[in-house]
Amino acid sequence: MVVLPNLDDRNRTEDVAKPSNPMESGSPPSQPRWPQRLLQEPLFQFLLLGIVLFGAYRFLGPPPEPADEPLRIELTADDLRQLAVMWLAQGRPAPTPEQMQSLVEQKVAEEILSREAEALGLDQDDQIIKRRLAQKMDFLLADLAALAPPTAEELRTWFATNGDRFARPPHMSFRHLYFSLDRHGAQTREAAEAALGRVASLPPDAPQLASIGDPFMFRNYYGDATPEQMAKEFGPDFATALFRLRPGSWQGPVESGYGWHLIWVDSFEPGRVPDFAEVAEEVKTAWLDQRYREVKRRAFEEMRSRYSVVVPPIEEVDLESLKAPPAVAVRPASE
Amino acid sequence: MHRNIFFRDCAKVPELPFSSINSDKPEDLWGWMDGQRKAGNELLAISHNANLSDGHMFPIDLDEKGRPIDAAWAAARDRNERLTEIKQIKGASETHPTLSPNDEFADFEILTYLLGDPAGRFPHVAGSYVRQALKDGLSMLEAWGYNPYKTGFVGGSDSHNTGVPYRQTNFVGGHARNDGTVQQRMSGYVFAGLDVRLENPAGLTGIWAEENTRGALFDAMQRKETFATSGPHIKVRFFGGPDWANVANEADWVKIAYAGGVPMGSDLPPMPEGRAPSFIVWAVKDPTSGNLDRIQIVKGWTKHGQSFEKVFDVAWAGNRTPDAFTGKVAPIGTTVDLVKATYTNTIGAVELKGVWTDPEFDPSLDAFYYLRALEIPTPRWTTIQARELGIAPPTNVAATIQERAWSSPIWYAPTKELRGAATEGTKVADLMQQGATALDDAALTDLVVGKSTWVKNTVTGDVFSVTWTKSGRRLISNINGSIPKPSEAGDLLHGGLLGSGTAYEIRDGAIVTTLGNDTYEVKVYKLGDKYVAARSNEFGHANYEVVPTPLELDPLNQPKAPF
Repeated sequence: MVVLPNLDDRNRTEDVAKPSNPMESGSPPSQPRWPQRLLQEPLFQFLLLGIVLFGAYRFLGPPPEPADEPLRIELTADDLRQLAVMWLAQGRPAPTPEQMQSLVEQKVAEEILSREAEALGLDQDDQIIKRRLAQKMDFLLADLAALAPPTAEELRTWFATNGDRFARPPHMSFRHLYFSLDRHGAQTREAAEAALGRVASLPPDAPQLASIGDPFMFRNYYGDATPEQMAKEFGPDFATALFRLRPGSWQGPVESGYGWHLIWVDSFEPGRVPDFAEVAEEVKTAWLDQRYREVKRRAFEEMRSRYSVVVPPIEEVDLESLKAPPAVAVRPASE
Repeated sequence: MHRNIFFRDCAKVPELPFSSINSDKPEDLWGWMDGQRKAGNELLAISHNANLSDGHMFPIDLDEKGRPIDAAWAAARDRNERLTEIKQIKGASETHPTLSPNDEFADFEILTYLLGDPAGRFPHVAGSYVRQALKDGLSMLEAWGYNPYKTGFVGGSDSHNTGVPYRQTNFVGGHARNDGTVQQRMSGYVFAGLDVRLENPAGLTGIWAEENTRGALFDAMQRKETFATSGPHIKVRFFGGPDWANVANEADWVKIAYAGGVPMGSDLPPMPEGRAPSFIVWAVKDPTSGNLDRIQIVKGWTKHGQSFEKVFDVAWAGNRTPDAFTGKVAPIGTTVDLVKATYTNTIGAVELKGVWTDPEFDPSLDAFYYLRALEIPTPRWTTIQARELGIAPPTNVAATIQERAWSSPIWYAPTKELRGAATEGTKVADLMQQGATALDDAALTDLVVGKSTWVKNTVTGDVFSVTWTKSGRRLISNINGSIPKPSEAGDLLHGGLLGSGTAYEIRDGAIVTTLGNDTYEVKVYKLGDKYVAARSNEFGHANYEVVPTPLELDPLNQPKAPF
């Protein structure tokens, strides 16, 4: 029912209340009646105004949208095209009408089952769903992080302080004398040490060296070798020890998987950080990755700050009485 | 029954790979590969997991489509599939103890079963192992003029995880959660019919190439200059040639070897008159694995449809001397502590090198030689993981193994003249031409049942006796161990040395014996008053004669080998 504020009532009220002359009237002035008082309240008046406005909108405005019908599944032509795209993406030829029909049936079945599941509340407390939703948040944050691609200037500045992580391995060129476990057995190390005494004063290209040590099955000289290469050739312990040595003298004995060695390092190039230009792409990737982690961290901190988390003290929870679950026997997957 | 396909050039590949949806027949795969090659996409195939192929990987008579194998089939295989995966997670495919009863190292990672464990079936051993295939290839060459099995060796993983374990010390399984935890593995979980404790780490392929580029590696694989290891980075070299005197000690012996001979995977050049081929063998251990025990050369050869093998010890660690008569070197012993699952490198050698000349060379016979290098015994992963769990190592697998490497073979083929000059051997066709009659069931029964016959193998000169009981069992006795036995020899003897015997029956005009999962038929022919027999796996030859009881079983003047 529409009730228009009757402004006349207000005037009348005032008229009634208005004394012509307080001294002239014989009867005392009466209090306005409660409806009238109510109507004088500005709050009430605004309430009435609001009712008028919403009422008018409801009747005169656009009709409300029908609520989503939970029992109706509608696929559009684009949905069908999407199904076909996924089919083609598996490297198959274009789907026949029968195959399309089958794909549609599968999609519809999936839609129905998921709605039914939701209706039964099966999506609550599902670890997989929670994990997936958390993952989607991660993707959202990754997208946010990638919104503003870095400029070359930004990358250079960042590289200046973070260059270490792109460092290339050290390189070493060295020659060695080999003392074979096959020839010397338990005395191999001694033999190498004794030889060290003899060669310590000799330069690396001295002709006498030819008669010292045993023939080595691989190389006598390694140029520009990295720790990883030497680990493969001699064993990891040898590579570690080798790269602690420095040029200028015969050193050792150093043990390898093959025996003991005396080593003369010709040159040693410590791991260096390459020029920006050499690693520009890697830098960009690393920068984006760091930006993503930053965004994710700050976003999560903000989200976390809005939550109150209650956890019982960990020491007070009984973990001792738990039994390990038995090894899960799985159904064999096909070969 | 899979093949692994490699392409030479990443830019020259087809739109889609050939898959089992197109066809599951290797003949069709090879046809497709020929087409690819014509289109400029160079590629090769590797026979995969032969030991699980139920005899399908190396057929002799019929191909996978049921057609008789012929020269065209052999040529197609040789064009497209020159390498065999000799070691992978699901076992080794070199040889089987029943095929190589005299090879004491033949029991390495033997995994013989049928994938999926189908009910009521067990696998064929014959046709599933590459050493026998190499021998059969020579027999086919001699009998029919083509050899489809001139194959080199590579190693692989067949891990179904992205990460692959190559070493006993980090065996993490290869089939996701089916063998992914130590408990799962060590509990003998049955995966597709396989007790996963029988699995073992992956093998590796080694390639000798001019440079470390894709093209150079592919070319080396095509020419079979490859070797396989059981997992550690053992390196081996193998060269064949007429004469290697003084070469092995030269500093640049490799250069000399390439110049004066042929590397692994190749054919020997013609040998000078009266000269036996020589081989240089060399092996270096993986710096993080066990020392080396020995290098062996495995020789296989064929004569008149029978094929033979012998393993020679060529170089070894320590002061062991070979047996004066057999030439074999004693086992190296072991440093393995089974409880702690450790070993020490206090025995064995870092590097082994040697030169060997074939002491039994017959220039008229086709032969192959390949190198096998063995490490000292080290704990198997099951022993190591048993220790982790505090349980005893399982009893269904070896507690220790000797890791190893195999080179691709080097082949010898007699020249045309030598081949022409060689004796033909007796063939069934010849017998029929000469008017021989095949014995039927009744005649066969009359000949053998309830009797003992003395039989001579006319290829080797070996004379032995066969006892045939009325209840259908036969026993081979009086075997001369110094005379090489033909292929699948252990099965031929089948417990003869111990008096066990095996079953036989007479049907369809043949004496039939089933050994393992394979049937052998012997047909007997009467020519005059002689009885001559042909065994079904001897390529049309009739190599057995019934002889009177001999006075001497081991005449002093009888040649043992070559024969």
